[in-house]
Amino acid sequence: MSLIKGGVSLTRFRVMDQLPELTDEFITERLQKNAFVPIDATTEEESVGWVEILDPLSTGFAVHTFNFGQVIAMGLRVDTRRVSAKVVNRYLSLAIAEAEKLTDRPLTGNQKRELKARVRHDLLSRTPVVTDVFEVCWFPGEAEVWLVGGGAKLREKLEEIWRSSFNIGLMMKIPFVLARDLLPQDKTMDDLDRAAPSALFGGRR
Amino acid sequence: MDLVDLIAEKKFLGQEFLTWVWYQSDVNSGLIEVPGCGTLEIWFEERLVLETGAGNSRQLVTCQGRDLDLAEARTAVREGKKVSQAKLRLKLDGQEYKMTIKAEGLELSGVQAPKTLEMEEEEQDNLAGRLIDRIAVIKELVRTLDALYARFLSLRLGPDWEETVVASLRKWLKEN
Repeated sequence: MSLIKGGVSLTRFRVMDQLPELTDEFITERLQKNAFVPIDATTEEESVGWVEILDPLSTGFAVHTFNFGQVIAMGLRVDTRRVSAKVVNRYLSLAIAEAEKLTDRPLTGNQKRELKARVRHDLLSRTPVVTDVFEVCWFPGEAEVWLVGGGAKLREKLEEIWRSSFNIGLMMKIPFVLARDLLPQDKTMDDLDRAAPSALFGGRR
Repeated sequence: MDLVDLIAEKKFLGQEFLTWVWYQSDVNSGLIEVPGCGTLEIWFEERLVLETGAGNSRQLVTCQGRDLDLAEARTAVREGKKVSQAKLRLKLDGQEYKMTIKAEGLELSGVQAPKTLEMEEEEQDNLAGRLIDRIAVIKELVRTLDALYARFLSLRLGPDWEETVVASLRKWLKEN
C-alpha cells in the first residue's frame, strides 16, 4: 500500500457540509452499507466500495479498523474486468463464421447483435478481475479528505461513493478552493475573486 | 460556476505559485522563510513541465536536467509558457521530502517522505502504527505546503504584486 510503503500520490478535498454527529457506529453503518461487493463470480465489469484500509478483503469495519484518532481511514476498492472491443470483434467474427457455416445463411443484423452480446458475456466470464485499492483519509476536525491516488475518473468515483455513503459533498482543493481556506486575514473573498493572471510573460496582460 | 470552469479560470494561481516558489528558491539559494514553519529549504529538481495553449491546443514541454537553473526553461516561461508541474525537494527541520506538484489541482505525486525512527524500529507487522506514522509525516508536508501557499497568497493578493514581485520575476527570467 502506498501510504505505508513507496511513493504517495495525494489529492485533497474539502468536506462541504458538517455532519450532525460523527459517531463510530454511524461510520461503521455507512461504510458497511457501501462496502465493496466482489464481482469474481459474475460478469459485472466494475465494482466500487469501501474495504478496511489494512485488510482489503475485509468489510467488517470494527471501530479499530478505521478510527485512528484524529483520522478516519479506509480503503476504496475498485475491481474491474475489461475486454477490449478488438478482442470482442475477433471472437465475434469467428462466431459469425461458425454460425453461418452451420445454417448456410448469412446472419441478420439482430442475430449478429445477439451473438455479440453472448460473445462479450462469455469473454467477460473468462476474464479475471483486476483489483486496485486506494487509501482514503478523513480528518473530520479539519473537514479534509485525502485520496491517495489521482486522476479524474478515480476522483469521480470517490466523490460519488462519498456522497452516497455520508450524504455530504467533497470539493477538490484546487488552488482557488485552497486559497479560500487559507485567505490572509487582511484579504477578502472579493480580492480573491478579482485576482486575474499576472503580466508575468513578455509584458502581456 | 462548476468545478471544471473554476479549475480553468483560476488555474493561474497554481501556475504562478510554482513560478514564485522556483524564483524564491533560485534567488535565495533554496531558502524560503515561511511564517509558522521557519526556514524551508526548497529545490526544483530534474524535471519541470511547462504548458502553452488551452483545451485541445494545450501543449506540454518537459525540461529535464540536474540543475533547473536552466536557461531553456526560463526562456520558455519568458516567452509565455506556464509552469504546469514541478519536481521539488523540500527540507524542513532536517527532514527531506521529494514530490511532484501539479499546478492545476495542486495534487502531489511521487511523494517520498522521510522515514521516522518509529517506522524503522517498529515491528514489520504493526501496520496500524506505521500507517498512523506515515499519515503524520505526510500531514506535516501538507501543513508546510499550505503555509507556503498562504505566504504566496498574501503577496499575490497584496498591492505590490505586479509592481514589485512581478517586476522582480521578469528581471530574474531575463537573467540567463
